[in-house]
Amino acid sequence: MSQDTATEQKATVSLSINGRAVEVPRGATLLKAARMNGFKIPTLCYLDKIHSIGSCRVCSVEVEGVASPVMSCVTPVSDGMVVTTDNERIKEYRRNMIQFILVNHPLDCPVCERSGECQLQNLTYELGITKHPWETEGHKKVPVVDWGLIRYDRNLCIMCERCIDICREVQGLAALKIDGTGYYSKVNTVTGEKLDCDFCGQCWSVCPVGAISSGITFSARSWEMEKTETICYHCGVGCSFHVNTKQGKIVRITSRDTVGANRGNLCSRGRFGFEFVQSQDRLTAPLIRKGHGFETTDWDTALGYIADKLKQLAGQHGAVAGIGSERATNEDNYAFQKFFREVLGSGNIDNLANMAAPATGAGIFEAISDIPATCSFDELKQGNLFVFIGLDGSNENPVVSNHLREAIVGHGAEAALLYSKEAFFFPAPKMNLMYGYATMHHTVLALLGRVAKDVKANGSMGSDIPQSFAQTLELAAQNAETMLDAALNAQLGELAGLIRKKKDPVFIVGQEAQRHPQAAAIVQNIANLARATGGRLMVLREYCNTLGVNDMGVTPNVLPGYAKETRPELKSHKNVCDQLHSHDAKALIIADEDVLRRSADFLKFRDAMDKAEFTVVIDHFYTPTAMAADVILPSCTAAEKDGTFTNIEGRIQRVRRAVAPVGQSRPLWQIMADLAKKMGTDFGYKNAVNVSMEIATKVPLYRDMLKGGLAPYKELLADASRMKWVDPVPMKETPGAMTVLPEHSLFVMGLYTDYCPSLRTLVGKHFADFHVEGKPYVDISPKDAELLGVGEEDTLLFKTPRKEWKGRARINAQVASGSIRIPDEMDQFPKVTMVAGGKEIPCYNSRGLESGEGKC
Amino acid sequence: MKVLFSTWKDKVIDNRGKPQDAWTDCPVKLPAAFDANRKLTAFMGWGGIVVTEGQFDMVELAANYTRALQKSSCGKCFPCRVGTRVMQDIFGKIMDGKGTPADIKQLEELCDSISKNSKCGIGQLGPEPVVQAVQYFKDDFIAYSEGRKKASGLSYPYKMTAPCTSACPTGMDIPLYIEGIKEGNHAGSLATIRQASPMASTLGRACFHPCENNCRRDNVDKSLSICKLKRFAWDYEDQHVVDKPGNPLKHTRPEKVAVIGAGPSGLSCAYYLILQGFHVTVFEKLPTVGGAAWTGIPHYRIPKHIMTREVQYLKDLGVEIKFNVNFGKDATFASLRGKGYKAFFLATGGDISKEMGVEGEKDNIPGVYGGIGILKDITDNVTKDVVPVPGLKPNAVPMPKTVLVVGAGNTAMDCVRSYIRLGCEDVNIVYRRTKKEMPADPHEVHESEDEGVKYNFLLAPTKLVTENGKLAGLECQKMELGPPDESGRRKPMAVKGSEHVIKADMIISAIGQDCDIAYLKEEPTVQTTKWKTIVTNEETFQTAVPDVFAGGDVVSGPLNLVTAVGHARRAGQSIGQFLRGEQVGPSDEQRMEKVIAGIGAYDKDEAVPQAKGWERKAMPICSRHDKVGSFNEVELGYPMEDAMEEAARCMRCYIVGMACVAPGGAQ
Repeated sequence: MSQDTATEQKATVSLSINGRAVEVPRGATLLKAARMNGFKIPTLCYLDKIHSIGSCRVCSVEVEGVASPVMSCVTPVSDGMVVTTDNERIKEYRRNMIQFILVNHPLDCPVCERSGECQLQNLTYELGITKHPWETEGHKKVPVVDWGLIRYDRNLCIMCERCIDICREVQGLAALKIDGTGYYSKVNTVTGEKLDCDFCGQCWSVCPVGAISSGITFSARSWEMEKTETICYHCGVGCSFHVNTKQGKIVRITSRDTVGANRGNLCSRGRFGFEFVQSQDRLTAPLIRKGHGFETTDWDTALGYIADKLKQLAGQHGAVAGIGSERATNEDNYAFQKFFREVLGSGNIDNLANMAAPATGAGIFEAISDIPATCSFDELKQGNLFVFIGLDGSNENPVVSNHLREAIVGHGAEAALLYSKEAFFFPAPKMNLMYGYATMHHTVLALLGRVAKDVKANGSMGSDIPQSFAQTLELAAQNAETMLDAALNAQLGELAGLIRKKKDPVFIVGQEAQRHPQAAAIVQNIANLARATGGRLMVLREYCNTLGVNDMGVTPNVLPGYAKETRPELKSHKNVCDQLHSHDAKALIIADEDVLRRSADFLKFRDAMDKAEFTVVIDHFYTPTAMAADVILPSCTAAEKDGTFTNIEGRIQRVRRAVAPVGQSRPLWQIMADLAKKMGTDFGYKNAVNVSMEIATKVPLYRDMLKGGLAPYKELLADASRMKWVDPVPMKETPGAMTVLPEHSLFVMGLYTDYCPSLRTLVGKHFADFHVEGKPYVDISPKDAELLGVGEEDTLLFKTPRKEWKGRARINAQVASGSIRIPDEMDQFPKVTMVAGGKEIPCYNSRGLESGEGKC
Repeated sequence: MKVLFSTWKDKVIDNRGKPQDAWTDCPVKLPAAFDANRKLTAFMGWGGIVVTEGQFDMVELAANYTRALQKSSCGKCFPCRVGTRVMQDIFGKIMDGKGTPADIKQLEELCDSISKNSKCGIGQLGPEPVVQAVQYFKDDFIAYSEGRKKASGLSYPYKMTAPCTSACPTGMDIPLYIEGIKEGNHAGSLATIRQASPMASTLGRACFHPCENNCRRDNVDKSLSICKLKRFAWDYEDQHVVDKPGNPLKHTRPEKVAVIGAGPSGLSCAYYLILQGFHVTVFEKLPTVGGAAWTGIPHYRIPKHIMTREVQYLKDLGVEIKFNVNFGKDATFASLRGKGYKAFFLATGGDISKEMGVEGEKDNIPGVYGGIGILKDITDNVTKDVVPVPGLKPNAVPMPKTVLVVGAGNTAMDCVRSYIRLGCEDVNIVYRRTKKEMPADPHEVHESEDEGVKYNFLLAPTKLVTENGKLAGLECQKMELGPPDESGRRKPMAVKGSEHVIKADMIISAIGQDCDIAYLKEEPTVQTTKWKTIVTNEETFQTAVPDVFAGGDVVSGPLNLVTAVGHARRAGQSIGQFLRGEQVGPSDEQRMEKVIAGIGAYDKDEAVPQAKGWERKAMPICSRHDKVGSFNEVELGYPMEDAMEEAARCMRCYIVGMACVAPGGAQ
């Protein structure tokens, strides 16, 4: 019937607001239309980034011909509307709405955390409310509910629903709901029990009053705090946030709605993980080894001592090796590599990102040739289908998921998940595929094969697939398919169909793909997928400057900006570890990196450190790596220094000093410059901006770094139309061996979170039954459990060269067979022996890659 | 019915002080009796106050009504949540004899602010009658305030509903499920739908949606696409990887119930029963689920694989379905009672095509078919769960050159549209009235015309014409419209001497269906009508035999999906009451539901104070090629963002209606 038939419409709507004729986009709300044209309408429940809620009724306006006030936030514009945004009648109604709230809102402003930045307070003031005409009887105060890091005070709650809606729409969790009806309705957790969620703190950040607060921040009034806008130091998303300090002490982290790469969203680590900065455990002064211990010293002595040692080696190229840092700024890393190359004459430098995942490290452009491994979040959001590969979307780089949700809710994009476990994502994904870890590359290859088949049958979607490539692919994909079970093959076929149907796929590559023994081939073929389908590729990076450390050339043979090393004496032919083992390198400088903890190949690293004649570790904490050093230098965290981070989009963002350095700690760039000076070279750096200027001058990729924005990676790409072809390497299988897949906790990841006691309290929440009687869970697939004779709750013994520990088996159909999953917290070793039912089963840790030993 | 006092729709009728025989007519339809022992004396609700009898207490009614508003308030907007509570507290003071004139004035101020600014009907429409009560019964208010009047002890049952909900035979909470979609909580939305019906997909695809005719948004711009949003909620679950809520329910009751017929009514009743903890077995004559919804609704409206997946949900919950059981032969009342079945729900529908009553019909002429039978053949042979290739002419389905379908209801539409899809080039409707009187869904008529069906109006069949023993055509008589008959439509009258033959090699009679209730021979106490339908109590759906209940087409005669599901919901409740040994009958709330439906929850002339111009979202449909060349589903369903925007158009027109009920039978 005609009522359901679409008609062509103009893209804009003409209406009159306060007597002025305006033209606004069709579909805009009256509120947007008014604000776009400079008319002010007060709001209380409205939030720009979610659907209009319409609970506060404060944004009312008058529309000619409509008898009642019209709520501007929920009413779309239509042609010919005559709107009045302000008159005495409307004002009185607005006052009434606030008066309704004040009926039961305790005037606890003097002791309320939100006081001074409370929107109810502001509106009451703005609307000139001085009367209190209504009251209710028998209103009793109820106790504040403690939900862990988040607390809910029902007495202060105005029931605006912001917390509930942001949780569902942006965070995708729906952990909160409205309980009850009428006056006694309140916000509650969906279960009615303690809050079980990601603890992103979004609810707290959007609460317009003091109803949702955080226990760890209740220590300063809004007007006492100074805010410094900087970039988060936890992961590669590069969220903008404000470090709030009171008298030099960090008291909380806030973000501004819709601002930054994160559009105001933060995750639990960004929001609550700041305690490490001013932790009691920070190193405050340089330390020099004395026997089995260390002795505190001053910078001059320490630097002099190091300079003397290094001078002896400076003549021999490559005699000093270095490890740079994924969590240091571009300036830090630039100064670090400059010190090595120009002062020490050594090209033996690298970083853990590059060593652990070389496919996506410095060699990324080599491997991927003509597709940027990254797209901007804006481009990401234009995707119609998000294909997660090796990505646990809710735990890795959680703010990326916020962006995806925006696209899913905003224009009906869909998600398809491929992971070695049944992954969770909200809104519900269209497809949820589970592959065995060992057949990950086969899965990608089989999907590529399906796509190629589809292209052959239905025409090209992206770049044409070269004939020769198609032939090789056909055979390889056939072989790959034989490694996968029928159900997965069928699902991959379905996924290929979905890709054509939805168009504009974005392939989002997670840690599992990047750290896989066949990562190079996997990432390469995902790039091929993107190419063949005309899609985009986004490789998610783990740390806050994983991209930057590589851009800055803290890699062997690749200089800042991916220039090739041409000086033969600075070329490096072995990795840092091997250099030390073979005594080609004799000293080691590790900057801001806990190598012995983070590298799964730490045994080899520990031997290398033992073999080194002299080791300097620069870090914020007394880490296991620092303990093995000869000299420890205290460095600043990102909150104490200026500089830049490059996020996973390739966006170069300013990091600003929010608090004074703890103790005598210094920024890494300064330490390197000081050391150079001691050795007779003056870098001429007085502040971080000097370093930035030098980078901007010398590194074409970063020429616009001081202006912000994205680094122009696309310029670097070879425009080779060739598709690089990588044969699937069947993984070397040890019969009966299992892969150990450590699982992250969302809350505890990386060094920093170790020193954030508040976050650590959440670990148990996330892994609901992490430890039962001291035994962590070991998730095993039903198939493997049957094969090994393991029963639910059976105790499994794990032996590593370091220690033995016991775990308890959970038979979990969400786990693919051939692998077991344990918490990341447990002792990670390349090779572990699992004892189950009296049998010893060799297990290889998916992280134990570098030595090749862990490859299964 | 006469009225003592009324402010209904702002028209004040005040007969107070007049003798009863001088009272004027009541502006609304109200029952005098609330139930067997109680009478309804006054009503207060969204449209005003109506008093039909002297035995009432206006202040107490208003106080209780205000409390009902506060209780019904969802808490999702400030004025209604807090404002009605302030009102309630003021009433508390008045009822306690502690009220002041300032309090009474404040009630009026509050009402204005609440009704002008609230989010939904509770706040927008709710407070007005309270102001009217204050205005017209001020003396009573003052008497209470001063402690001169005390509580009367009458009872005040109420019901919160909405115009759309009130029109829905299943009583579905439509605004709530629409809101779920608006908020992106699609699973929650489906859960709401499933509180009223397990058939979200079938109803969302093929319901005749009386709700949309009762949608207040239609007074502003266009009614909401309520029906298709229901389909969206189900499709979303179907198409996404979500934890489907289908774990077998625990049987908390020992009783077994036999449901006869796996059509919409039978399956729905099974669902309500299993939710109450009973063991349920459905006995179905055919090898397929869905009854008339399976055999009678073609694949292009409800794809069979979709229906199979929908019914899987019921199976997952623990409903047992036994196929190919012909009740009355393979199983009987006695045999099932013997196996421990404690109650029966008869939902056998109507699957015998009515005869046209024309000459030659008894001669078994090849080429003459009943509509329901031919649709079943098409379903069985062509559209099982595969989509046929264009131009497919399977042997099992008769393929004529010219087909005449007699009748103009939805079955006739399904027949002609199916034959268009089968590739028949000359597809015709023969109907004795005009397009205006056609009982088919206008949407279906529009679609069929678009697809190329030809219409012959004002033509009645009189005789089947054969040539050499083969069907050659249909003799018809011209008709003209006379005065309206009992159905309200103008009665067709034959034009003498206008007989002529329309050539055709296939004739389908689609003028209605009869029910096959031969199995009732075993239970002659169950009453039946002359149209071979079963007589039940219209509230409880219980027959004269206490353990036998019936619903759906076998009770109403061939009607529609949603009515059948509505019967099942009530019957499910009654069977539960019967098996638990409770009084079988409606609750006060359900009685109120009926009172409100009688008054009419929707007023098409109401001026709704809402800005207009928010267009209804268009439903995407398949390509022209697919439409006439295959049995592919025509309507493709809303994409998520469209569904969410369409849902946002809902104004949540919740209303509260309360009765004042006094002891004693109606006079």
